[in-house]
Formats: sequence, C-alpha cells, structure tokens
Amino acid sequence: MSLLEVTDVAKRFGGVVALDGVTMRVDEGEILGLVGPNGSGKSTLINVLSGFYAGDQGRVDFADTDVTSLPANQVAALGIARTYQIPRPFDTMTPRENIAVSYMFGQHRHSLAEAREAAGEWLEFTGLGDVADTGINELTLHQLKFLELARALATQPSLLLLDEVLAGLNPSEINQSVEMIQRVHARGITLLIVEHVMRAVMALSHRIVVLDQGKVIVEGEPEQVMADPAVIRAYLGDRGLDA
Amino acid sequence: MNRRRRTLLGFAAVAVILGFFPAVQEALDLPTFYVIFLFTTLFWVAQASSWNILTGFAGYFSFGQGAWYGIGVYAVSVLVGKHGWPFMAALPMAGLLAGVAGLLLGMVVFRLRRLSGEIFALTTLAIAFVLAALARLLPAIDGGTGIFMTGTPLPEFLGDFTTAMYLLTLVFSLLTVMAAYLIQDSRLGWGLFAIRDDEQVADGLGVPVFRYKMTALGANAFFAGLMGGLWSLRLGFVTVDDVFNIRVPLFVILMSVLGGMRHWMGPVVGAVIITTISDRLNSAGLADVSQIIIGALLVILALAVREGVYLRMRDRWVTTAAVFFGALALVTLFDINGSLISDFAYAMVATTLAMLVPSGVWERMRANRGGTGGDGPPETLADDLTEANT
Repeated sequence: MSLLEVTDVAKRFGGVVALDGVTMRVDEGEILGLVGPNGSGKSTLINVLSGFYAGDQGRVDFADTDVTSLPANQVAALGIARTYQIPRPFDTMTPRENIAVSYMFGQHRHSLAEAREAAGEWLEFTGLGDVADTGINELTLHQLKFLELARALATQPSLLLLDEVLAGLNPSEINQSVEMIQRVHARGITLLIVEHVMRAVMALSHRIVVLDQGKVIVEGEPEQVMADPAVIRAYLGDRGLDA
Repeated sequence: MNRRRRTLLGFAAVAVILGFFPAVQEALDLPTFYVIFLFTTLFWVAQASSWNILTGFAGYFSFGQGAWYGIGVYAVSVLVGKHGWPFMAALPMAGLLAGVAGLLLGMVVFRLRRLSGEIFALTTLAIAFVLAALARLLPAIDGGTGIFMTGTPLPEFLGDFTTAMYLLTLVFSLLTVMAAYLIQDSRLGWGLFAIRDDEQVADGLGVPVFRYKMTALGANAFFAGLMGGLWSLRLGFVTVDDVFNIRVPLFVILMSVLGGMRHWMGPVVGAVIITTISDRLNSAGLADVSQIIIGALLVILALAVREGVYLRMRDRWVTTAAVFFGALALVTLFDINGSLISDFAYAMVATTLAMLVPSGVWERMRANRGGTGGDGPPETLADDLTEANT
C-alpha cells in the first residue's frame, strides 16, 4: 500500500527546471532510496514533500490526504519529518532541548513535562546521552547528524525523509549510521533516503528511484537499477558504457 | 514544591511587599519621590518585558514599542479627554486597541516571508511615524493641539493620585512580567525560541509559526498599550512629540539587551538598573551626558556579556549578592550621600561591573578555589526544562 503518492510534480526556479513532472510513490514500511547526480532535483523534491516549497504543478498525497499546498508545520503534524543535509540545530538550546521542542510539536501535542521524559529516550537511542546538556557548538559533525535524526524521530513521524545523513562521515561512522537507520526502520517508520554513498543505499534500500535533470529515469530493485544503462549514463555520461 | 509554584509565590510576595510600599513611605515619612521613582521603574519593567516577548523570545527585532505605547496613550486621552469616558473604562481599550493594531500588522508582515529580518524592524519603525502623522493631522485624535489629562478623576479607594498611579502601575507590570514568565514556561515559549533560532526548521517540526508569532506580537502590543494608557495620566499634557518619539523603543532595547533577552527576568533586571542609574545621573544634573554614559555601558556589556547580566547573576549568585549588599553597606555606612536611591545605584553599578569578568576567567578562578565555596553549579536553561512541572 502506498503511503506517499507523488503525481506529476514540477518546480521551476526562474528559468531553471528543478523538477520536471516527477511521479513516484513510497510504500508503507519500505526504505526507498532516492539517488541521482548532483543537481538532479533530490533536495528540491524533499523540500516540496515536506511543505517548504509549493510545487508549480502536480499533486502530493500522504496517507490519503492531499498535502500539496499545506504549510510545513501541517505536513509535520500529519506525520512527515525530515533531516537537513547540513545540520540545522537550534543553537541556543542544548541537544536535550532541541529534541524536547520537537516532541512537544511534531505529530502529537505534548506538554513541557512530557517532553522531558521523551527527550531522554531519543538521546539514548541515538547515543547522545553524554552530550545531552552541553552547548551545540561542542558537538562533532557526527553528533550533529545524529541530533538531526533524533530531532526528526521525536516528532514521531510515519514517514521520515533523510537528506544525506551520511555525507561527511568516516567509514566507521557510516556503518554506525546505517545500523541506526535500520533500527529506525525496525520501529515501523517508513523511510525515504537521499544518499550519495552508494554502498549504504544498496545495503539499506528495498527499492530505488533515480532522478536525473528533474525526471524519474528508472525505478526498481537496487541491483536491477544499478545495472540499468540509463543510470550509468546519468552518472558517468555516454562514455561510461564503453569503459 | 515545584518550580512554577515557587515562582508564582515569588510573584505574590513581590506584589505584597511592593503593594505596601506607599503605606510604609507614609508611615516613615519618606519623600513622595520614592513612590514616583518606583512606579517609573515599574513602567519600564512592563515596557521592556512586553517588548521581549516578541523580540527576545521570537527573535523578531521590533522598533514598534513606541507605536503600541502611543496607541495606548492616545486611546485613553481621546476617550477620557474628548469623550468624557471614565478613566477605568478607557484603560482596557488602550490595551485592546494596541493589541488589535499589532495583530493587523502581523497579518500583513508575517504572511510575507520577504518581510523578515531588518525589513520587519524597519516596518515597525515606520508604523510609529505613520501613527504620529495621523495623530497630528486628525483633530479627532490630536490635531496638533495636545490633550490635557490633568485632574482626571481616579477611583477613590486607590488613594491620592500618586498612590493610585503607583498601585495601577504595579498591577499592570506584575501582569506583564507574569505573562512573560508563563509564556517562557510553556509550549508557546519553546515554540517561539525555536522560531528565533531557525524559523524554517521550527516550521518543519510542526510549530505553528504564524499563529505563534501573532500571539507574541499581540501580547507585546496589548501590554505595551495598557501601560501606555495608564501613562497618559503621568504625562498630564499629551502631545504627539512627547508620545511618538524614539525614547520608548530605544530604552526597551537598551534595558533588554543589558539584562538579557533569553530569560523573562532579563528585561526586569535591565529596566531596574537603567532607570536607577539614569535617574541618579539626571538628578546629579548630568541629564545631557546620561544617555552617553548609558550608551557606553551598553556597548561594553553587549560585547562582554552577550547573554545579558541576569543569566550571569544567576550563575554567580553568591558573588552577586556579596557585591551588591557589600557595596550597599559601604555607601550607606560612609553616607556618601543622603539618598537611598543613590546607594542602590552604586550597588547596582558595582554588581554589573562584577559581571564583566569573562566566563573563562571566572571558571579558572572557580577551579583555583578547588571547586568549592563557589557559586554552585551553573544553572542552565536545561535545568528549567528538566525541573519544569516536577
């Protein structure tokens, strides 16, 4: 059953076409990998899905509700959460407070007191317990990425959009993150992951959608997608096939 | 006892102590001037606290304080001075009109994403100019002649004019500060902090950004207008130039920056320090340089104590208390001058200067003392969150 249904969505910035009639779906309970070369429109799609940009055309349905023109906070209240490629913590707050705020709002309303309890749970889940009450500027990139994840999880989403959580991490941190993403999935959360680290995408995704120049060029099982000539061409150009 | 109940009890205690001050003043035969000084301070406490709800909590820098205050002043002046309303009936209208004006502005500026940042600040500044021009041009409001408010009757049970002014100012400023506290200690407050830090991220996490910003702006304008309405009596003769000038917006900014904009107590502390010092400078005949001195103080503090003096005083409460009461005892003992307010002014300056010791140096001094006998562990906002409602 599909949880998210994207139909013919387009987005232009001035004369630049970022999304050119994207149609795709995310099934309930799956991990969908969204890949494509730089500038193919992956981040724009995430921004449209989470309500930050209004698409110029097309329609987005989430859990049988039309969310096409809803503002971001209403999309969040319906159960879509996202992370940012470059971490954007609330920098006058501690990690605990970041997560607590997210829990107070998100998909369900919670009081300040309830938020305190819940924050501990997500801090523990992401292994940030030791830095829970330190300043944001004392966190490493790795910890900031995990904080992004913890904060998104604290909204108790049904669908989580992960925008390059692995970018900039070293191999052992990547392994740790992949394992964490699997644990998130095990909690019953549907995931859409945008990622450049192909090893991780192949390991995690049940299905992969490839974007190129704002269009979906291929979708299907990971192995099958990666062997597709159109994908190789998109990444490496025409010469890639000769090599 | 939980933190909220403790704080509300604190409010009650302050209300009772300050509420009896006019009686004490009369009994001890202290100059009436003390009562006037206190209600002037309370006026600024309310103005700075209400400004901070929007600018400190939600992060929208506003020069609009003068506009909301001015609407309040003129609402009461027109209703009482031109239409013969009883003063107490006109007073709520001051808050309501200013609140509605704030919401109208919010409906326009918060809908347009382009109007954030410095454009928002400039828009709020422009509102005050427009209102000043309107008041000057329209005879129904002012028409350039001014409005006499002297001799306006006040309810008799409040006592003589000065006592009545004092009690009303006390009630309104307590209400304002309490509102700021309750907002900070709630979902609304944390939603506003999130908006201040990164509005787009807050939006994405489900914070109803438009509604929250409207609430903050509405509350700011309402409390500023309410106090403005009351202040029309203090002004006595209300003129456009006296009301719509840069004084109110500038002073609330100075006070909040000095005290700290991230905690509801910041503007309270800042307002008390600045009104006390500026009152002393004025009475010493230094009115001309008082703005320069306060301005210089602000620049130094803004650079050295970015979080404002209040949070530092809380972290270093032992030192704060020691310096404040030590200085107070010294100046009283040596009787440097006869005035009680001057004594407090010296003590406040000494305490504020003690807060200038940078955090790094402070930590090292604390460590050298072996970590004991210091000011206890620093209390952060996280503790507010951790202890809230427990």
